[in-house]
Amino acid sequence: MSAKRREEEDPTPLTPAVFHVLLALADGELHGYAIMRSVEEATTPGIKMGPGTIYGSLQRMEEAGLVEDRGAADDGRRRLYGITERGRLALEAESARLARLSDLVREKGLVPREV
Amino acid sequence: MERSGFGISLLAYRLLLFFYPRAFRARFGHQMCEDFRDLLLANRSRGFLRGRLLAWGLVARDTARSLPRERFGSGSRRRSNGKDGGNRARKLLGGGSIAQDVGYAFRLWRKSPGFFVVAALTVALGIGATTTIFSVANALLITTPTGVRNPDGLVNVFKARQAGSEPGMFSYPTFSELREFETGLSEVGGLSLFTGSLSAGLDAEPERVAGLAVSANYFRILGTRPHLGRFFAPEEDVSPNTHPVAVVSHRQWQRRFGSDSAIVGATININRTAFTVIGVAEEGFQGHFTGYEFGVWVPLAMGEAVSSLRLESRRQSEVAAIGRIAPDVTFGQVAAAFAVATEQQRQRQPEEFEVDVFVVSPYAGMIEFARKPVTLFVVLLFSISGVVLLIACVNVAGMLLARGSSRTREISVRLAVGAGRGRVIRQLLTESVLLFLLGGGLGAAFTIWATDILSSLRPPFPIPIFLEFTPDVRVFVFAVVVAFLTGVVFGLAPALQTTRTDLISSLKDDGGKSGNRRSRLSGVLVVTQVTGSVVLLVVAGVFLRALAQADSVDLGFEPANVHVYSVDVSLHNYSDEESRAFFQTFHDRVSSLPGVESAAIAWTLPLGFDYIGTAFQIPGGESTGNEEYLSAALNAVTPGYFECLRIEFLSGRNFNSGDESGTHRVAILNETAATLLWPNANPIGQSLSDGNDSYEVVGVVRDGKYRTVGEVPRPMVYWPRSQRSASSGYLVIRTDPGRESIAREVAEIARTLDPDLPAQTNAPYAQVIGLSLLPNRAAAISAAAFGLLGIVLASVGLYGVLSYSVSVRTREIGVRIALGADHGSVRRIVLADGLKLVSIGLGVGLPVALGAAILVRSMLYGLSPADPVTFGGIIVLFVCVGLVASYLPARRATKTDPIEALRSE
Repeated sequence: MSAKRREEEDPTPLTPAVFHVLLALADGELHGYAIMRSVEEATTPGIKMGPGTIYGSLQRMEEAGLVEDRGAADDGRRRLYGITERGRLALEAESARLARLSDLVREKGLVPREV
Repeated sequence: MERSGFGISLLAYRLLLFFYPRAFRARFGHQMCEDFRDLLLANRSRGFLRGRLLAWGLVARDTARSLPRERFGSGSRRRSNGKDGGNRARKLLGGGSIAQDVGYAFRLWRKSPGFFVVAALTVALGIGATTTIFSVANALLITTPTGVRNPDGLVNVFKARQAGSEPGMFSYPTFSELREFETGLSEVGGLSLFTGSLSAGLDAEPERVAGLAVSANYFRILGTRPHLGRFFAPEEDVSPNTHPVAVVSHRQWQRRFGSDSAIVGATININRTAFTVIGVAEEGFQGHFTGYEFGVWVPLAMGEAVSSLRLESRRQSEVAAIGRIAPDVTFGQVAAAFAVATEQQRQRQPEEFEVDVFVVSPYAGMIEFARKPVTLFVVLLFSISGVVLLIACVNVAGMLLARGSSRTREISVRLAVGAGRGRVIRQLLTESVLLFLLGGGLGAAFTIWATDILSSLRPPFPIPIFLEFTPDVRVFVFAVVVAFLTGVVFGLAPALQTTRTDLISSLKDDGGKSGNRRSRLSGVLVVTQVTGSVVLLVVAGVFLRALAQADSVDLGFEPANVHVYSVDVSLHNYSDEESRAFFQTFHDRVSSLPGVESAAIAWTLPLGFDYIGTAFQIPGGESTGNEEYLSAALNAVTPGYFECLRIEFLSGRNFNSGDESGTHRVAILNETAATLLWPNANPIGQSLSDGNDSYEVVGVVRDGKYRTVGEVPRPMVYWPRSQRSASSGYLVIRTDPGRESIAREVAEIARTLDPDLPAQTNAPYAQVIGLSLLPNRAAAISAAAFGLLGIVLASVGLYGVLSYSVSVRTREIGVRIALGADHGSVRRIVLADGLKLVSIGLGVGLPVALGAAILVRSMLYGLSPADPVTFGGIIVLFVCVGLVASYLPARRATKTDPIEALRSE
């Protein structure tokens, strides 16, 4: 399958890992380790992604046009990654989908309305 | 490299990254290392072991998930387009649980316990050997002694002739000046080493003890705390000889004083001076030098009372310093400040200041002088055990490969029903990593046992030595990391090979192509094993040959039936006359013992522990205005010395009663010194100068070995002891063979002369020399043991591979037999296969082994690294091993039934 074809595909629904990485990058550029920390902090129980998983995901997300390499970080030791326009759209679409889903779940009375 | 303390972990991780595809590694490798370092830093607060285990645990899960996907990603990626949303998360993070794989591995092993036990034991041997040596390295070079806190901020200060030359101690006045330097050290403490006798109470036997005279701030600088009582107050270390107070070690307190807390305030005698004990050091604290066991501390100002230290003398260099770097100051700033301060001091006191440069070095437990040789020795042992580990791992890889071939069908079925190759590789990798981890656990148990034995060995060094090789958490982390890495490395190749099956043919049970590929890989494994064991055996061989040669080397003297007793009478502040009288009486009374042939007194002993040397002017240099010096070893001896040690005279005469103190000074040279000084003239009657005095050469004796058995002949100058200081010395006693009670009798005489002067040495001469061979013996024995282990593993591996290749070639051999090949030619084919592998192994291994032997040349006592006996013997040995290991498979090949073989077509 060619990369072009893939780019045209709708990336949603996103896998949780991709979703969390995009979510972490939504507030600004981060390097790999910071993404790791951010994902771990944002999830309960904390999802621990190791370096291999993070960079593997970043590479695939970059191929899919969701994130991009924004150059070296201040310390010069690593690189910063940022969310692309397409990534932001995908994140919004996924968030909307999850919101609809959670509304649905609430309507069915499966979880209390206010937590 | 920065001192984060994660060196091993980072190196291991970097190696691990090599399994990722090159492009992935090139793009992300650096960042992954940085992230891993941050991960270690983040977990640091959780303790050494826990922090590292947590970080490595995450890495293990991460690698298991991401490695197969990055390498063979298509399978899992294809499936991630599937409809199963719930599974999707796991797909991106890895897919399938590791627990499942682990459970599956255990079920498999239950079915074939034999394979599992042999493989795990093999791994255990390799990891046990490496981990044991690592715990030795850890104890000697990595761990700092117990009780020393925050060692990172400590520096040692010695002096040296010039930067880079051997560091030495300095005088007490210099130490006092050094304390005032502005160098960025928050505190500077001084210390001076002494040995002596320690006795407590009236009836107690004196005991030899090593101690330190230290400045009052010494304990505070190291951060150690008293177990009982207190350490020295500043005012106790100001004026000389006014505060006889002492601190004893926890071990001394337990052993000699029965852990009695009444020790504080009690009186002990150190070298005949009474001291009041004011404290007991904390448990485990034995001073700050790795391996030295110090039992007692006194204030530096009391140094004169316990040792030959003279506080006003600039000529006596017996003080070293230790300092703590002030907060916010770097080591580089301290070193630079020292250079400036030294220069200023020299300008202030151009005459007195004796120091050329101060050597400031970051504190490490091992004392400066010993660090380099000990490091070399440990690196040698580590390399040897590393080769054993390699052989063991290669062996297990071979076993995994052979086992993989018997699982071809199972794996083909799994691949055929849609399992991704990455998924199957992950399963196989889980199995091998688990196997290596279990083997590593066994290996760690082996290490505990081996280090226990090592710690119990106490070679009779002249200074109390205390070494504990007990493994700490670092050692266990090492074992786990090594097991994990070797599991991945040596599991991966068989896993790749096993899953690279031709589905159709293997489902049809036709091993053909992939079988060939597999036997090629197993051939590579055997060659690696042979190479490794060749290297081990060659190193072991040259060491053993060198040791044998050392036993037969001409030492220039005869140590057999000679007993050695040494004392340092300066401990008891004898004047020169007193000590001369002491030694004379001692000598006379020992000489009159029955069975004593002769006795003599000497400053030093060849191949003993101390070495004295000085420089003599080479004659003829003065006239050209170009003075040259000859550095020679020195000894001052009584006339009986040469006869007692059977050192032959080549010309001239022995010392005699005419060479009394104060009269005309004389010297005897060895052959090398005589030839170097007067290459073309008769040395007898010539005159020799050391810059102060001139000596008439009265005799020339044969060369000997003075410092090491392997040394090239070095010049030696003997003086008559009567013309020299007599403060310390060795009594050498030649006895009739079999005089075993001599040690006790000599000690008895020494006791009647001075009841509490401890012996420094009281042992047969051969034993003293044996100690100088100790590192070589240790290296030879471990190389030989590891080499034997290696050759056993290699022959098992060879046997396995040949059996396997015979089983793969059953059909071919059947066809040959059907076409009329006789048993002889079939046997020859298999034997030739085996010998081919052995020859390739020898071809690769011998040059590598030669390189290794050249590296250890300095320990070979002049034996050529390309020793033909060793190399020839090893070639013969391996050809024999190759023949034996191939014979059984060859015989089996001849039993191939052609009908059976052809029927399976």
